Amino acid sequence: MTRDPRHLLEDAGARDVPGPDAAFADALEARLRAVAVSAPPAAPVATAPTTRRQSFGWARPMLAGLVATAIVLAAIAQGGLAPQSPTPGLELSAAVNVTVQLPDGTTVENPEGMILPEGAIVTVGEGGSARIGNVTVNPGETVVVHGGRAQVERPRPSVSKTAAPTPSAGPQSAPPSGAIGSSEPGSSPDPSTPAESASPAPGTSADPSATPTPTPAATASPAPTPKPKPVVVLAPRLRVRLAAAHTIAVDWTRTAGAKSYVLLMTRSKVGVAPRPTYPGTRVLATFSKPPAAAVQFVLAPGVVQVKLLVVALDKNGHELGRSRIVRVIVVAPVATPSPSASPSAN
Amino acid sequence: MDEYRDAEDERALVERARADPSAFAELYRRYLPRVHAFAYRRTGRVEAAEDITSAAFERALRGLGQFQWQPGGFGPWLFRIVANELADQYRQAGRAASDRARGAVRQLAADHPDDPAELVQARDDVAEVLAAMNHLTPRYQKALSLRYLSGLSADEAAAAMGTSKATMAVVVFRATRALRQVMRKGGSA
Repeated sequence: MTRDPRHLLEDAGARDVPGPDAAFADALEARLRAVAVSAPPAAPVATAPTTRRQSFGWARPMLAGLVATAIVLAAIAQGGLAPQSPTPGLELSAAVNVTVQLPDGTTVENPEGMILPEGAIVTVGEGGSARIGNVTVNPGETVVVHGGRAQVERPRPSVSKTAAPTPSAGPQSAPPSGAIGSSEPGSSPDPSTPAESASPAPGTSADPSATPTPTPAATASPAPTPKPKPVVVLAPRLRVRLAAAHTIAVDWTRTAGAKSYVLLMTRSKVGVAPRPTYPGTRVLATFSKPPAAAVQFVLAPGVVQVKLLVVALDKNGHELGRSRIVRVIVVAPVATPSPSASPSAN
Repeated sequence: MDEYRDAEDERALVERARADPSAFAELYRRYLPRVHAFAYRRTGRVEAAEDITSAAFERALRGLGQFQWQPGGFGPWLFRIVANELADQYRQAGRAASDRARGAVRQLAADHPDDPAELVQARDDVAEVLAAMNHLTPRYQKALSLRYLSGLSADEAAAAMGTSKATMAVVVFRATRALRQVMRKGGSA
């Protein structure tokens, strides 16, 4: 075995498979029709298909009510119901040789300042380090963000067991960290670690940052001015370039008064990526500040185009400004095989 | 907009099938290729894929009354049934299934004599990882197969699993780690 299981599974999932045999399809349809004739019309029941839950159908409305009450109480306790209120509790800082895998499988390299979302998996490579909130993560360690907490899963020496690995606690209950033995020290701790990105491809760094930002007033007058006009930046300037095959480098400028930045990305595997909208489009990541160096996102195989947008928010989560939408063609059409990046016209 | 129209269309189909089970055929035709492909990718055998497909559709038809419309639509619910069927099958078949699956995928590699040696090796590796999955808990098996083999998006796979996307990511991470450990110990052998 030479490759990581995750990559092997991705290969298995992308593999072409034979379609169902026509005779089988017809036979099964006939059988289903026969079953349908013998079965009475289904009475709609508001439960999931698992049989265990059916006997507790009464509990669902009660549980929903309790959850709703808890949410309202929590919101009141936090001082209101501000939308998208940034809570930089699990902020990644001092990130060196760090890979973050987001819940959708996207991996990011050294995303300094990223507010880690629920489900994020942070891996520190050899010689690297990171801080998440007030937790220091050392080389070889992995952190799983779950239940609003950063659970450090340190590598353990392999325990000789013959049975299948012990299942960790389900995600509904707080799972213990290190429930399963981890990778050996010194070995690559996580499958998601992408290759180091190459230098920027020539001709791919078409600067999309044509955001009309207000220019500071050129006060060249030698006359004594009572006070200098402050530089007011109303919108972040987003820059995206192809750093390597299926890796994009993203950074943006600071916006005055912004307490967090929301990065949105839409992807397409077939052609034109949808236009990112805020609010509305899935948030790829939230940052407390613009990255000091370009953050590198490794895209899933098959993605041919992405569009990105960054929105600056104030301390209450209200929008201060937004960048232009930047489009990146990850894989050029057949006629033009070289990858290119270009600012979106929209 | 098309997605919205498709979802509305599918919702109408589901409602019709609830009232008249014979209308289920349209849902069946819509999902048959994807369900069969999912089952085939996991099992590596046509016969097993057909068994799983049959059982899953029949179970879906009988359980349609219990389906509650969800944002992902009918698909995640159906794929959840397929994943359950797959996990059940491997639980019953035990270790013997892993040998069969590996043999089946090796046979697949032999069906493509034009492939370069690397591709054959890759197929063998895939067979090994699929066989190693049999040693995981049913929950981990379901998570990995839904995430990687079903063709569903991350959102849909989480919906099929009955979890949030964040929780799904954590489960998949732990399942992958467990899988790696099984493979390191030679559990798939």
